[in-house]
Amino acid sequence: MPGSEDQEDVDLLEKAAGGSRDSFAALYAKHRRRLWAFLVRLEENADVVDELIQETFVRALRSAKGFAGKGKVSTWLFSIALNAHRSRLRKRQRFRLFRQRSRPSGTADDPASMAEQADTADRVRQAIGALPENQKSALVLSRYEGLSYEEIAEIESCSVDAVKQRVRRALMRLRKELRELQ
Amino acid sequence: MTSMRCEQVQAEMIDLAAGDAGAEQKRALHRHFLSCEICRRSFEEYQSTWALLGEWRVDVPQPRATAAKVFRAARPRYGKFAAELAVVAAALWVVFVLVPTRLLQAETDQRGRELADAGPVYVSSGGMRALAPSESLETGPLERADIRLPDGTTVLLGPATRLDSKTHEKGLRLLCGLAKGEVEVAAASGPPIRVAFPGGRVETVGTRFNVRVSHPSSTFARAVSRVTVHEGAVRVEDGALRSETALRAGETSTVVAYLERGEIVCRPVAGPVGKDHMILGAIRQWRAEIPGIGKVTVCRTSAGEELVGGEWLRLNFVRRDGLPFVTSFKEVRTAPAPMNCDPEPGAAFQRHETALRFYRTLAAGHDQALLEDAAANLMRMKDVLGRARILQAADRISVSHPDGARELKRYAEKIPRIGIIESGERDLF
Repeated sequence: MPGSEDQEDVDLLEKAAGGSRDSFAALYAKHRRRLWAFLVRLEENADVVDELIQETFVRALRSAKGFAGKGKVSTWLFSIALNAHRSRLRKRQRFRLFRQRSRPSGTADDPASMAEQADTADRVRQAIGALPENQKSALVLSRYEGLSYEEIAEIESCSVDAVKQRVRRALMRLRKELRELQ
Repeated sequence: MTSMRCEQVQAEMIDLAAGDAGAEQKRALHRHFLSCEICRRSFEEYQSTWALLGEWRVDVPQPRATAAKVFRAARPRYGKFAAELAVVAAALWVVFVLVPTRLLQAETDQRGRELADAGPVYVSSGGMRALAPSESLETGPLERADIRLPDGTTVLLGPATRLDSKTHEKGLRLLCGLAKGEVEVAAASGPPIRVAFPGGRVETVGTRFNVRVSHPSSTFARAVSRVTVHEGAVRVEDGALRSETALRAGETSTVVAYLERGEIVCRPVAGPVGKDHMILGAIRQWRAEIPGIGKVTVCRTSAGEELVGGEWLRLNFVRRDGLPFVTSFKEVRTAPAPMNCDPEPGAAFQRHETALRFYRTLAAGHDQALLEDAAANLMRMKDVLGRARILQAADRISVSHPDGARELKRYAEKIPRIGIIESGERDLF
């Protein structure tokens, strides 16, 4: 049974598909931030992430009738975003230098501490960026988006065990990569 | 869960570090960590790694594209005018496509009626023209055509059809000699229309029928003619069986003609064409062996007194049973070999061609069914190979002719289970 929030998402989607701009704006405002945070960890290029966000919502609106209340709207949007990201990856060779990097937000005030934190975050970002694509998306959805393995399995169109395995492998690799930071 | 092994713990400790372990699993793992220092350290490292990942935070900027912009992108501007656009497109299609096509069709039909009133016409992709009293017609591989008579009778020619038509045959309205392909006749009442095909003929008045001639083998060894009656009734005459069958609407009759008994394989020998020439000798022998064979004519492309290697020859014959147009011929190109090089250049070429076909069959695979099929093909072409003796066994085919055998052996060396027996015979015809 979908919760009230999920039901609200479904209603917004239905109305948006029916032509309601306000409903679409509400849906967009509600989910854009999470999708942006998710995609920027996979893509890291802010311009591309912006395009992917737009593409995700355009695809969602055009295929809203195909959703038909199956699962959560948020999970469905993550799934569309991931597919859009992967199609883009297939189309071009991925570049590793980013024109705009996401800036880490630290709590320390002194410049030395900020630099140290930025360095740690940068190392973490690089280590995650070096993971295989399916491990990376599973880890990001689990660690940063807080989704359950069942939800990730739905987004990735695979089994729960496969998701677990991907997260385990990602952590094993990251443990080696980040050992010196611990 | 009290005595977990370290291998099992390795996987589960990652789940625990990632916050995905149940209460019972958590207790069992912690019990294990109390007794195993190595696993405990590993777990702490995973825990630390998981925590370290939290250092990577991202700031979500203000959206560059507003929701309204994305909404517009998802819904094309002409969406609400789609119905109107469809109507306009349909109207344009009617005005610029449908009406001109209909007008052109009407004009063509009118011209066809005028031409058809004057006499039989032949309509093909090349246009419409009057049909000559006696004419050979052939359609392309994808082409359809038809013969239209003034009384409304239509003979449709299917793709790759070859027929001879005669409109002034005594007692007949139209005579079609179908050599290959398919015709469909829709006849108005009047004098009979006859379609002769290899091995038989069908004649009718005021009915609609279809005759299809197919050659299952590329060697023209056999022709299968199928007559299907759509309306009325027809009488089908089988030339070989000397029988007649009455067919009514919905019925089908098949006539099989073994054309190889009427074929002449052309094997020119370089030298003067006289009474003792090999071709004439072969024709005499064929006449003796095959009662059905009638008049044989030799068509040459050169007018010289002597045959030379590389010359095209065509041997026609008409069956003695009197069925018109049932004429079979085979074109053979002789090998472009220098004179006196091979006493029978044509024969060599024929054997070579046959062998190639057979090799291709073998190359496609050599299972039992394929092998038997290949052997059957070879049997049908035994005249070409020169009275080859083919022994067909589970895994063996032998060809007695030395040239063929040599070639086959070369090929068969690569394929297990096939043996070639050479008898050394060299007996052509």
